[in-house]
Amino acid sequence: MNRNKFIHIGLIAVLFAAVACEDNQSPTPKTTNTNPLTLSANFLLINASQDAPSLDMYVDNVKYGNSVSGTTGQSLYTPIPLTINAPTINGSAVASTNIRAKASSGSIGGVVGSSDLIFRAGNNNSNNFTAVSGGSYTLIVVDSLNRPKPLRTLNSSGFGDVTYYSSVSSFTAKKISDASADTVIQLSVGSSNSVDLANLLKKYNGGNLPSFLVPIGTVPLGSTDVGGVRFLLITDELPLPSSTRLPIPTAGKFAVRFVNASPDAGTVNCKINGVSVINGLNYSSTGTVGFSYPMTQANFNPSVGSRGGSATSPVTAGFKNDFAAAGSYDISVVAGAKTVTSNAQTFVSGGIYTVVLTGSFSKNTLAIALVQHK
Amino acid sequence: MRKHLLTTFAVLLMCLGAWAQGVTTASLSGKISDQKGEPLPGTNIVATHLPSGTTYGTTSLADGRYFIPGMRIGGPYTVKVSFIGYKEQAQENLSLELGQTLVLDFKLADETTQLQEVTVSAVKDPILNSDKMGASSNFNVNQIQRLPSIGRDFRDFTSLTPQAGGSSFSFGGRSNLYNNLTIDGATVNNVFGLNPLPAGQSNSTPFSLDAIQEVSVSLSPYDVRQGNFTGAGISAVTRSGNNEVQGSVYYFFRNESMAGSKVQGQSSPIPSFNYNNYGFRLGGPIIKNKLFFFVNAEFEKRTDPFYTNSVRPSKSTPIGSLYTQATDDNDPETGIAGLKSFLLNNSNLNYDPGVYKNFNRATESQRYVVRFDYNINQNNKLTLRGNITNAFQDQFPSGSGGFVSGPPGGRGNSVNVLSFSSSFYRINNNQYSVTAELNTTLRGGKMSNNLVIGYSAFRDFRQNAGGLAIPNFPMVDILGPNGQTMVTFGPDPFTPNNKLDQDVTQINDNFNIYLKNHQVTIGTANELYSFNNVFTQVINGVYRYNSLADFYADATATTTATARPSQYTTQYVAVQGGPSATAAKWSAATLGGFLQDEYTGIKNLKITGGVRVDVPIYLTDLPKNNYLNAIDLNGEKLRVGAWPTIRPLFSPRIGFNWDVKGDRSLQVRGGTGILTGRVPFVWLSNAVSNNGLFFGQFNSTNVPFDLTGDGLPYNFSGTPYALPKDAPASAYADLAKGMPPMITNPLDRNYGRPSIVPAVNTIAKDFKFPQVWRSSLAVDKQLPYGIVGTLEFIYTKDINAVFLRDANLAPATATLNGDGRPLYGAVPGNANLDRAILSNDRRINGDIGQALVLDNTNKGYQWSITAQLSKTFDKNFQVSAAYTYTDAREINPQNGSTAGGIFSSQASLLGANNPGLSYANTLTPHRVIAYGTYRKEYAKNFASTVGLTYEGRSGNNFSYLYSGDPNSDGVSADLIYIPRSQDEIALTTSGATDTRTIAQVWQQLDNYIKQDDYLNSHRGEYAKRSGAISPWVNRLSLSFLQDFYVDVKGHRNTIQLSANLINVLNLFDSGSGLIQNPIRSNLLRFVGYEQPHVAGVATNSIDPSTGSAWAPTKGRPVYAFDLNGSTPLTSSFAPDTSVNGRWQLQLGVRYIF
Repeated sequence: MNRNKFIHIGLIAVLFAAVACEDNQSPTPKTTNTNPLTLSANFLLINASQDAPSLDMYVDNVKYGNSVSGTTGQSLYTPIPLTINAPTINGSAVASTNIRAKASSGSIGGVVGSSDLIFRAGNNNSNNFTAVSGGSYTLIVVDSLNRPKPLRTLNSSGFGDVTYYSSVSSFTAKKISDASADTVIQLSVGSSNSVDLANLLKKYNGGNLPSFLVPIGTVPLGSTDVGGVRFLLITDELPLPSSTRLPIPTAGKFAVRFVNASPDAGTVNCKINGVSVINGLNYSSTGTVGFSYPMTQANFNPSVGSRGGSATSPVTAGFKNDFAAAGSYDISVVAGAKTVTSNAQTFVSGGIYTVVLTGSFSKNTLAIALVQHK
Repeated sequence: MRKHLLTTFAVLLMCLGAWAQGVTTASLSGKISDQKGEPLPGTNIVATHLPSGTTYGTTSLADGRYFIPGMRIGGPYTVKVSFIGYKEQAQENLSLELGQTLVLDFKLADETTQLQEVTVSAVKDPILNSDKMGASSNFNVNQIQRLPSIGRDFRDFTSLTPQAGGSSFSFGGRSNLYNNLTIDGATVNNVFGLNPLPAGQSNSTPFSLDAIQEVSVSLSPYDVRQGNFTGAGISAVTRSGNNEVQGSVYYFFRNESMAGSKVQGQSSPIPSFNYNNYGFRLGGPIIKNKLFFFVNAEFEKRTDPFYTNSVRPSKSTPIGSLYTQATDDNDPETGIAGLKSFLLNNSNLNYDPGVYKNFNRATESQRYVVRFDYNINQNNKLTLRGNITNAFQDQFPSGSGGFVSGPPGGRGNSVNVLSFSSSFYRINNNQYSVTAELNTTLRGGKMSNNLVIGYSAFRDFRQNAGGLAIPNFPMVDILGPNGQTMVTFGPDPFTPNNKLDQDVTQINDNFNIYLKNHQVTIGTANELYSFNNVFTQVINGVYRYNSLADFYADATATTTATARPSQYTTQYVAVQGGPSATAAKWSAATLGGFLQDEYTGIKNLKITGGVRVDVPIYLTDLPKNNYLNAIDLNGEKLRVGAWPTIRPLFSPRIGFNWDVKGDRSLQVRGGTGILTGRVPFVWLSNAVSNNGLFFGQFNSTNVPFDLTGDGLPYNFSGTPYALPKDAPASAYADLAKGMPPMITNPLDRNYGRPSIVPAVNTIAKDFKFPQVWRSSLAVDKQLPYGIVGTLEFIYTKDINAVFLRDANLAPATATLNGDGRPLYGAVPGNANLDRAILSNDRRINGDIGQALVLDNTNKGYQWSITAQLSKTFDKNFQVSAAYTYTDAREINPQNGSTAGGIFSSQASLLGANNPGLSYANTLTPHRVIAYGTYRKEYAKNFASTVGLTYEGRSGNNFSYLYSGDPNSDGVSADLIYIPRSQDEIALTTSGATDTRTIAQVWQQLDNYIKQDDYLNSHRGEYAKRSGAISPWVNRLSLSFLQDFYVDVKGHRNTIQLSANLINVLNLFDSGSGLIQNPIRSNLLRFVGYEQPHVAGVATNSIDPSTGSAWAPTKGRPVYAFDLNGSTPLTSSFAPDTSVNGRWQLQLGVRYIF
């Protein structure tokens, strides 16, 4: 009797345990792919650098389009599939598309060396680019292979940041110790010790910075600019009409955008068949679209140490949306005493084009690249 | 023969454990009968504890039964039974174990009877003779001396309990904060619960092993006298003095050369350290047979280097692992030395930031125990015990920002970060405890009484490292060229004013009446708690500068407003009276009473039934926050400053012990009942201090705060910011009226409305202390070859588990696309700055960030089954082995040093307010424990002792989480979905420098999942909280004691050399015995939400359906599977390379007399 009683207690305990051992709760996953996998965006690469080798365009580390040698560009967009569309988090776009340029053979060289040229979303991060499905983007490789890496460092008194000074390829100065002799010396600026050089020059210039050295701001905290060539990425077009970055041609005509991507050409004038593309930074093709496309340092990638977007900026853009009807026209760009031409180019009615001035004025490598967006 | 059997019997019980009845003493009971089995009432029973001459006497009751409670543990005892007309019988060499009721029946022979042998039933049944009902384990002084232990920590022995968890002092899968620790019956538990043990924060132990006679771990007591825990009750009893003067002097040491220098064959030296432990114990008589003393003092010191990365002295020194900020051109030593010079010499500051190299970390403890045992007479025994533990440890500055994010790169010590010594702090844990216990036998053994009065005081406080005063100076973090913290100075933001006083007073009494077939116990158990906790985080302010130049400019340019920190954060006292007025100063008590009957009227069966009632009461009125309490949160009103309703908590219990065959060869035991424990009081205290009244917070990132209301630029100041002297009275909280401070921005002197409260803590009206329903069933059986086998099943169901929820978290608004889990709203901008509630906001009210409610749930259970085999060859040779399978589930982790900490770290799928039932984070599913000791005396003067322990167990469990917060519930601990194929997950590259194609990223993720047993077998499911388990852990440890002894006049003098070798397997193979930890449990990084593709609509800036940019979207979550450094993550686990994972040796020398 006792035995049965306690077997009962035991059984009840075990039964209770079994009943109460409920399992973890969990909803049913719904992993249906609700986004069409037909997302794509248009990309186009122009190699505007005067000294870069032939480059290939990679999006998400897959190669697209043809190789572009120095001062030339791909003439048409390449539609590229995107795996995801324009992510955001709490309203801010987050980067998801990896963009880079690789040397078609060997390495890029210069400061970049054997690394790739990679797009970084900010001056102090290594984030990707945010591509929107249906968007169109022009990637322009600008600057010299030898643009120095901007340094954020401690100064000679042991603390603090120093400002990075823009480089010119070289300059001349008089030897102050023997003014009568006026011996001309030539120094190269742009090495990683340009700070020391600037200080040296200040010392021999009555404590003033020579006018050709322009402070361009503090190197951002955690700067990821590695120097050398860099990307200028232009968002040409988003699906949303108000975001149009390209001139819309008036009926029966074609439109041209001009981008001066030469770092040392100064203010230039671009003409199609002798008609100027209007220089300017705030040109509005319709007057209603508050379109602004300054070629300021904010558009550089990364922007550190780049030239500012002032009126004397060597990089400017302009538009004209009412060129003559379709036909074959000559393109010319006048930069000071030099003129570069690209003759007998075909323009179609309703077409949208970008003329890019590439190469270097001082190295005599100025060239024109023509891109058709539409 | 009889003596031998008795010895065996006594020793075996140590291994088996016993029913922990009292927690400081043992008991003897039994039945006296004549040769025919007829009960003999009125028999005299006298038990004598031979070492101390302490005698205990009683007479048998009408049914022949006798009962002697309150006996000293240990032995040997002699029990004599005499009755006129019968031959006197004696039992010798008995030993009593903590909490044990030893059953000793006597059959007396008529003086005229001529028997060949006088038999005592206890001798016949040596194996299973015990009153044990529930699960428990005992570890006595011999095991403590003989088994390996490196830290001289009692947890090395409690972890030999089969049901113990892997490493965290948890038992049966329950949180370690739900245990109760007593010394000599007095609560010395860290009831506040910042750490499971007192002195735990300073890495110390609450008492010396040399002061301890025995430790017991009680898991399922059906004795209602035991209470205040829902995990395990751990009772330690200190040693007592005896008639002989006995003592010991000892010294133990170890250093880095006595630990493994390789991990998996790779050289990986341990930074130099030094550990010393020395002390003595002494016990003896003050009055022989009457009054005894015992004293113990122990000192423990450990020194470790704080800096493992020294400063790179000059530009020419190779970078290596030295502290440097990223660029090659840096000369950190110059910069850091220049900073120190600036701080010292600037006339406004004159601040000494301390040193930045050659700085050691001190860990020290002093432990003292004094005990007196007074045999007032045969019926009254008094014990007095006092102990003191003073412990401290120097700590790295916290990397936390308090109510904002901490600085990038933290504040520890790395190749990036260097902190001046003034930023390191010392945590002090002091403990003072006294207890008095009086055991009384009344009316010739028909009644007895046990009275315990205890008082424990815990004083935890902080200093600067090295025991220095905390300067009244803000903390400053200066970032270096790479954007990580370069240097930090000023005191740790959580250290000023930080203190915790705990006082626990305890009065317990129980009264026993011994009737025919019944033992009735009635009693009371009461604890009074007082707390005084001051915690003023970020009270001195924390400045963050982007460069040294920015700091210098801000500290020197008093007229310009251009130089300023990139972030300034401060918490200011918003009540009159300064920091001490913000103390969580409160008292509570639990009043308890119990009634129990132990019934022995059925042959071979003992049943106890009883009920205990505990009434938690709160003795302090708290200030209300009427402003917050008026807010309606979807129908719920907050109860800031209100205690829960007082209500009694009943714990009925029933237990049994059935001697199946009547010969103690097979025993079935168990029971069922409710246990009521304490809630870690810090969770309640959070509601006392986080009431939105005491403090205001101010945080500014790069926004102009250079001008205060008086038009003066606000510059760096060595004097911490506080409310301006001319602040109106309304800028302070009115505690009497429950009005919060009317101040939105103190720097701009913007008065008139309370600032947003980032977090407020409250307690639900019907919150109840934790209760569980625990049942157990066990079979003990004598097996062949003298082996005793035990099979024990324990099942625990939570009745009131603690459940935390955020009352200000709005319900989910959508479903996460391509995933299926609920998606919560977002918070626009800064939740602590922006009051406006927008559509699709996850907050219900914008005046509060988080409104935590401490509530209950009845979900959660634990069960375990244990198989144990023990064999005792003789008193010098014992072995035991056990296997335990445990399952434990809970709603949210029941451990954490704050309520907010638990809430914000609990992994969930459905959202932070619905964590769901899953595996307990303290669960160790499989565990094998084996241990044994062997001692051999030889050649007259020598003895060698070997002790071995083996632990094989499942590794620690963990959760596979996303890094980030894809379900947008505000808690970044979301369980991952384990994809079956690439089209189930939207992946992206890790960043611009990532050279992988999306297909390659998936391939690497897929390969990772394939090699991970947990993930691969759960594809297509959500990962479960604490569902993944680290690899099996094997730990074999060895102790060796070599004694050289001389017996002088019967008194033994011994020199003992000892070696404790922990993790023997690792000594022979640096790849064995390692603890493997997950390399990356936050497997996938949440990048953002994909926007749904709508032709002709740009979707990367605004959601066209709402026109709002910030709304969470309908798109799929996008994840990155980051590289592990520069290579793919290809394996789940990596070994713990700290000293804890390697072999360690500790040597010692001891003189025993």
